[in-house]
Amino acid sequence: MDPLTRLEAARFGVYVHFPYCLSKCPYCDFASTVARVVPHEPYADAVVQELTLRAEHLGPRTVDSVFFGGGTPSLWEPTCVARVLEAIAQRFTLRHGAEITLEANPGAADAERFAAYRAAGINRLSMGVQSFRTQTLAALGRGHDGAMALRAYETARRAGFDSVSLDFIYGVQHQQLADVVADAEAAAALGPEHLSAYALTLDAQSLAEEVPLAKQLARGEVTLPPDELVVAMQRAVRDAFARAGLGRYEVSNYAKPGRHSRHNALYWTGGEYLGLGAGATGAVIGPTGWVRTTNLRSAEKYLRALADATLPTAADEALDDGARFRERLAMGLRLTSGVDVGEVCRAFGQDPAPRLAFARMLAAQGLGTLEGERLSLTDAGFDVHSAIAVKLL
Amino acid sequence: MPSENAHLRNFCIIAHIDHGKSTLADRLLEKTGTVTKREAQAQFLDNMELERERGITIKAQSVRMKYQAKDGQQYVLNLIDTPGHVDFAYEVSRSLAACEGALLVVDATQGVEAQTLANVYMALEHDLEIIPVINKIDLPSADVDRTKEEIEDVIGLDASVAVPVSAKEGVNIDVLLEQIVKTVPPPKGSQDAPLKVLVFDSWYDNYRGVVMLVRVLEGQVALKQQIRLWSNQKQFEVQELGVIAPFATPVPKLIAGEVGLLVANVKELADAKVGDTITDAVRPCETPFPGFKEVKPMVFSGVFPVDSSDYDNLRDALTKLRLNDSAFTWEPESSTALGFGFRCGYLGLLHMEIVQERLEREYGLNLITTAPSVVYKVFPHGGEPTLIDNPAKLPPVQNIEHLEEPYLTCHIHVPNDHLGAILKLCQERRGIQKAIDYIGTSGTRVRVTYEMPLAEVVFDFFDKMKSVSRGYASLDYEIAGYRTSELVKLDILINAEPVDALSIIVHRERAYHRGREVCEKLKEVIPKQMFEVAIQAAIGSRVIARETVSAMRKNVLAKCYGGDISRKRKLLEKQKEGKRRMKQVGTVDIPQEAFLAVLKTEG
Repeated sequence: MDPLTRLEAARFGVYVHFPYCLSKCPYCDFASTVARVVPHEPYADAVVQELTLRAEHLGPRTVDSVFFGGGTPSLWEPTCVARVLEAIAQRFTLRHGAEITLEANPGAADAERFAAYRAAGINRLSMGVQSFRTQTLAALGRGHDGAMALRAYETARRAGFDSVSLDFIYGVQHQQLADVVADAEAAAALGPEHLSAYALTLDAQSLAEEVPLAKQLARGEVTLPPDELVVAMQRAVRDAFARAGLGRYEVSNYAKPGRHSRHNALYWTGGEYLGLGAGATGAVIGPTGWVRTTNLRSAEKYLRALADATLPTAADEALDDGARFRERLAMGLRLTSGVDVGEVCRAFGQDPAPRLAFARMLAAQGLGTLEGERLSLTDAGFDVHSAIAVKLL
Repeated sequence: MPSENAHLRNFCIIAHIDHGKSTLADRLLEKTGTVTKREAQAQFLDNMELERERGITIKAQSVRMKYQAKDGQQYVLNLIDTPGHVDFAYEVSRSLAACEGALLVVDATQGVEAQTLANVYMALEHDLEIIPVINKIDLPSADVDRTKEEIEDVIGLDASVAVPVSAKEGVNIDVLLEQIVKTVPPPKGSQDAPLKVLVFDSWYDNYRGVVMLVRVLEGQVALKQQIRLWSNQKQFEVQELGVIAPFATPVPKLIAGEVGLLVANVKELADAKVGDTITDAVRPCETPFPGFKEVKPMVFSGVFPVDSSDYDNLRDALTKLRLNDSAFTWEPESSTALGFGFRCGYLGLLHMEIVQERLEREYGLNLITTAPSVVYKVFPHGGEPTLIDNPAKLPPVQNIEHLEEPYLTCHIHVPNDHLGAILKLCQERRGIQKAIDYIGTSGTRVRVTYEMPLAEVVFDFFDKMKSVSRGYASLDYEIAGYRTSELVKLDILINAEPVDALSIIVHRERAYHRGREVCEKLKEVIPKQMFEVAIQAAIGSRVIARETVSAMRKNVLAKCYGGDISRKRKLLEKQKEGKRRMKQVGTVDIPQEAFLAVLKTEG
């Protein structure tokens, strides 16, 4: 448990990025490559090679969580996933009961494959449903439909996954409040342990790359619902999920009690994470202190680098105490459990007084609640999280 | 007449903005070989960065040129440059007093501009010989004959001595130089008479102390001489004399008629005021040169550092600035809303903007300037009147018997076509009409005289006057004294908290209008915050206007995982940096420009 946020979170996790997709989603800013033929083995070789190179620098670690993200990692041969997991367990100590998640596309779900992932050690599936409605899925450029999503969920359950998360997107073109409510209720009715619901984000500053939908928005070919409506959608989602027993624990994440993602919680609680794969980002304590490393985004370049046994790093960023402080504060405020402002300030040698004064003002304005020195944002506060974070840094 | 004077010519250039004064000056310097073309930084005279950017001259300059005339004689020509803005009218008059002649530059494509008229009249009052220079004859639309006619009709000058030139192309510059030698009279004044020197500019030099730009009127001044400044009777020893040609060159003495630099161990600029007279400590002249005025600030505003830790830096910067600008004053002030800062006094709004820009640019300070105010006279019930230059300091209304505000007598020269617009403007600005006089024989030029509250003139009257007259009207003014006025203090409340730095004093009849305008303007400039912001204008406890800045609706990153954290942090850091240019008042972030919002509202 992270004492500053009181959230149970992994302290060291491994993120494995699998960049290949069958098609490119027009809103997605993750590193992705559309491939007719996926180089399953060579990519697994490269990831294991990278793991070996990076593990040497790191020294011993106990892995609390592994997350296979993408791209579409459910396209990857389960044998490859198994190889990578074995390699992780070999280079580090894999904690018993570690949360091991794989992102799955509902368009490519079959029982045998899911069973194989489970056998390989995956114990949590995160499915990119986005919506059950045809119109919304079309607007998002997704290749599946609602029925396929339902089937995929059932398949996961039959394969024995007792921890399933579903991703949704709201605030999509032409979407009405009722559409969002219908999606949220249908999702909750399935009874997943975890749900994520993201407001569609297209502004350039927030994204890793300019996505096609953003260009269309700029050209006026696409319009999004007004902020007022998007906020109402968030409230409707929250209510529908709450009725099914899934509480909000982060800006966009909801879970049944105790079932929040330990791996993702790591990001919001300043944990260490090793990033492997094309475009993956990691942040670890190296010999010179905290360093955040981002890999080459191009899968091709990534493969080539590792074929030469060189690190596929695109950029290294040293994180000083100031940067760490600002991240801990800004990320911690994304959690409903909040963050102990006084403790974070003291941990990084910052003055808590003006921040606590601001926190009291937030509480007075109904944007946050203050318990001792622990500040948590209210729903209204989450709506303007960035503006609040700017003032607190 | 002593022979030394016979070959001296002192003159200035009067020109409408854009009519080519600086270009002409450059050509004269080149033609006389004072500077080579290569040396001639374009527009040599305006050597302050700020001046060049604004295309205006703030400090006077002077350059000495040697000219071999066609009569075979060598002449010394002193070109004295003058400031060109109404805020500096007194400095202009002192520069003109150092000359015997003036070149009046008129654009051959534009004709006579009214703005130059005020300076022409000032030059005539100083008995200067005026040579019209018809510039830009290289342009296809140039009409030299019509321009000459206008010069005769509108100004009443003899245009037969006019010289058509192209300063840009360097055409007829030699003709002009001959005309200067022929027409501008040599200076009068005997070098044997008791010393009488006019200080027409002064500035502070970090190494030499105060440097004075002077015109010797009578007698002669030499190194080591004991001199006395008339206004304060302080005595100094002359340490350095020089001429600018175009770089400062030391000389052993300056004689009657000459223009040059004088350094005399004067430590404070306030001891070397523009317009003062210098004389010999042992054998003084009988009377000083007339027309000396103490230049006093007319407009006051608060200057506060955005970051309160810059307070000491700001004080240092103000101290240094004051060394070089004796018309500028400052004293500490504190505001509930803005913390510790300074109350600064300026000649006018342009002066204020220049000071503010210099503080920000030369000293790297991030500042908030509050709305400018004039000095009001407050008469309490049964007490002595006090002067107040800060609306926040106005006592509660029940303690005030009455208020007085400063008035100006304004003279506006305007072509008949624009008379109506000018009268309307003066009327709107609470002006009291004193006279309307037609000038010259054509009946097209009018001189309008109004008494107007300084507060109405000082803000944007000059710009408005220019805009309603399409640039043709010109203004000069003198102080007319204090008059009783129905004035009230307009307070601005942000989320129900009065913000002292936003208070202004306005005429009662205009209070509602101004209150509404200020609220609207503030609504425009205050960005959306995390919560609703109420902006109210109030007189006493009565709210007369209200605007609301609605709360920001949504500002959150939906998806924030391992690869997003750095990007998000950097974005937040950048926004934080942007916030540094705002002042937090209560819980509201108010941008710098909000404090001047009241200036921009006069509609």
